Amino acid sequence: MHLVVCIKQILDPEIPPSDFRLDSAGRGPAEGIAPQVISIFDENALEVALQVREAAGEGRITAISIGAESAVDALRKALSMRVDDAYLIRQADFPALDTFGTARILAAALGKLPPADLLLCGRESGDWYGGQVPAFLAAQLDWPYTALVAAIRKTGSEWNLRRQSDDGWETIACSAPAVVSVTNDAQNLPRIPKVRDNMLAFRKTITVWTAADLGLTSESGCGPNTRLKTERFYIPTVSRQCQMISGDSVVQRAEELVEKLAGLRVI
Amino acid sequence: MTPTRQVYFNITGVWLMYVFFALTLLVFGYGVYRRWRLWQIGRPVVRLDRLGERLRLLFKQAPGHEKLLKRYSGTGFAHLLIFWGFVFLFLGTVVVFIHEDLHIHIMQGALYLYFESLALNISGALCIAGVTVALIQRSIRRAPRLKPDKPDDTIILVSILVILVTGFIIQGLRIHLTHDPWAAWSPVGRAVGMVFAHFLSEPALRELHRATWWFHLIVVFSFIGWIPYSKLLHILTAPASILTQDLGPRGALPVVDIEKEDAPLGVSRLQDFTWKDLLDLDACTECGRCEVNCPAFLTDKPLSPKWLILNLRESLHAESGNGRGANADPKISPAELAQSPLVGAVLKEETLWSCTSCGACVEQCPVAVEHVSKIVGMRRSLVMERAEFPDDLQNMVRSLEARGHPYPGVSASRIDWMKGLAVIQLADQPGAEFEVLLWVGCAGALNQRSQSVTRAVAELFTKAGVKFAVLGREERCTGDPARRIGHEFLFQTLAQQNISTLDRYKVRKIVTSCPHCFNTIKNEYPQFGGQYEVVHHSEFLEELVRQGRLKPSATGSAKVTFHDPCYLGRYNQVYDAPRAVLDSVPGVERTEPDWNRRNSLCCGGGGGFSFMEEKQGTRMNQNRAKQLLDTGANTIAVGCPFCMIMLEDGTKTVAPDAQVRVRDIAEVLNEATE
Repeated sequence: MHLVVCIKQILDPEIPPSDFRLDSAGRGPAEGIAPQVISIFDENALEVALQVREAAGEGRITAISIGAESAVDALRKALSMRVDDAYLIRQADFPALDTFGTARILAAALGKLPPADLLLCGRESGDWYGGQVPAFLAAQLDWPYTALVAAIRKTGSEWNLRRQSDDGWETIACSAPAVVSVTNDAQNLPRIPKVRDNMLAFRKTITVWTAADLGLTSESGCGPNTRLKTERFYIPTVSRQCQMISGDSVVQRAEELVEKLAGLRVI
Repeated sequence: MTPTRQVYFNITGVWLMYVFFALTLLVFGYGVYRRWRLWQIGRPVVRLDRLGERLRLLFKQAPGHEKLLKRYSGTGFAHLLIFWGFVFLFLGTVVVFIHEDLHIHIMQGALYLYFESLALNISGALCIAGVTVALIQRSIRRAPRLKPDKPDDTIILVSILVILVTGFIIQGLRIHLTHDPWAAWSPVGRAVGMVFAHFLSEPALRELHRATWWFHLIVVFSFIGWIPYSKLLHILTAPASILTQDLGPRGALPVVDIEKEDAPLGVSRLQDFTWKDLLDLDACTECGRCEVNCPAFLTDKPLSPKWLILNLRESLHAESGNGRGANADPKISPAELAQSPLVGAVLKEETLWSCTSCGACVEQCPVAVEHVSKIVGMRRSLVMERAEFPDDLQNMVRSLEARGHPYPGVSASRIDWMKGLAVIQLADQPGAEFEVLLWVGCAGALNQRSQSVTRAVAELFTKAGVKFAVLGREERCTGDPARRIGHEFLFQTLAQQNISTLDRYKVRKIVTSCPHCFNTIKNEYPQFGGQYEVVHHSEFLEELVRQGRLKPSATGSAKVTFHDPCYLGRYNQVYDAPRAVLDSVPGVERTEPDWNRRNSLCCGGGGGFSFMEEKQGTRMNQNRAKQLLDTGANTIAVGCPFCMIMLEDGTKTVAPDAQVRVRDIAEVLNEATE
């Protein structure tokens, strides 16, 4: 059994608002003082993979990430959770990256790994919340895709994917290979690594792949015809204004209030 | 005529006594060896260094019964009488031995009259008084703290009584039968003799004397032989435990060598404890002083420090067949015993997660049992080896790992509190000169209520003209909550980060308003090379007031009571400074809660509890809030951000209508200072 989990290192979503900064181009958040973490749904995907392996009693788990050098920390964390292998794809080789490109690169990386049974992704990244990569990846690979899975069980050669629907649970049976996106659930809270595993993780090698290693060019991250463009990225300003309602009688004041609220389109 | 007496009056076949005594010594020696062998399965720890200091401590604590007299002083005094009675009677026997067996005739003259007769008579009588009080306490008053109250406990007291009473009978009969001219020096014995003489003929008195003599001897020898097999063992283990107690600062937990490959991380089996830990188990006398001050025990959590020790002891004694614990298999060998797991089998996980690490048990224990380090040791195994611990604490650990503070989901940044204040942040002004570094702490920076305390401290510093700086964004959690829940690895990571930051800015003196930060930086950072002068803000503010740099003036009147934080008081003996700060404010009328200073009751915020929901029993913070409200104060003064949060919540719940405010001493002082 071979499970591959795609993880992304993101800026800590819990960064205090007063610490949040824009990058110099004003097209995204600035890194720096805020910590970087594994995107939360990707951690759920890692946990699901680990649980599948534990239930089966065998199997390998590979974690891959496209990211900056700092993303080795995210992969190291995955290793400390007892993932077997970790690969970092150098994001610097792909100066512009969109969701198509991400799927293209991950698909190419998958081709270099031993055949995978399942490819797991978080349901969306915790920074941009696009939620597109797993679907695009399935399309690239021409594999079936099931979204928002909470738990996975293997019975014989069949994979049972458990999803929550509005009125209960739904179990989808599928065969390998397949792409699955994982959502958070009480049963797949990421585990805390044992300290011993934490230390062992530091001794493992994390293989770094360049664009050339994957047979790709810098263009692969984001073709010239990309339809993704950031128009504006800004920090909303919160301001408070206080207006006193005047008027001689209660009725007049009430009418004025209704008028003002209607003007603000809140009623 | 030289005053003395015949040693073996009316006794024949004295050789039999030596045979009995040899047997007694064999039984005694074997018993001690059996215990000794069990302590040896523990890990090594250096506890016989600084012997002079250790002996001084022993002679300070043991003969005066320092801790026994501080709480339950009645029974403590009874024990003091028994203890000293036994010491004197033992010395009296040594005198007989030297006189009779070594043929050095010292039992005569003044020594015989003043010591061997008069002093021993008085000690015997006082000892009887002590035993009687103890028997009343145990069989009539039946204090719950004395549970399990085994039959042994009563048998021990009754045998002491029998030994003393028969001793007086023997003496009395001898005095009467020999017409002892020195009888007046043994008033108790003489009186007993006169009573018997009134009822019995002389031959009967002779018979009775001989019979009582042998009976007394057999009871005494059985008693001695029984010592290592019963609670009496504390006669040996209590002084041993006091002698080998931890001499380091109490606030410093032992270091785990994380890098060591095959060493266990924490305690999962008996052999992972140190030999002192195992000696502690046999030193415990079940007096229950530990549990009467335990915040968890008082609120029905599944933890009693006493039962924790007793359960571990039973598991240790399983080897000898004495144990009634989960491992009570008489055939188990020490090697097997050492390997058997503790948590789950001997103790429940919930027990370990009920401890706030407040140290009240350690403070109260008269025989220097170290409860907290054992609990943290076992937590270490759960957290680091098994990664099994409460979800709330897992979230705290994640936050500490990713963000360096223990508050998941907090929206404040470390510098939000200083808006509008001129504060030097060392990252921005690395070359700035400063007198002291204000260590803000995570609560002080990120918790809204505590932010105003931090502002009050900063404002006071400004008013006093103190040049201070902060680390700002570069400050990390000291690691205290990580270490107390057993995550030594995370603690060491955070400690090393902070030490390197502090050293980079050449920080020498640190002031902090958080006793947890204070304790960790002061007592635990030196374990990793971080040497700083660390003071709590109460000490620093007291100094500023004393120097006249702060001049509080009256702002009305307030009835104030101070709640001693565990990590300031019990762990670091800072009791007077916060009180002095409050007393410096005109108009403050200070009252003390019944439980104060070393007997202060934990608010329930330590040991990770500030980050964990209290799921079992009643609330610790409400329990303490009630005690503080009972003082009738309208201001509850605190010196710790955890106490602040806990007690604000506690007072609001216990007395929603009371006009009581919980305020840090810095806030009280700042309000009164121009």
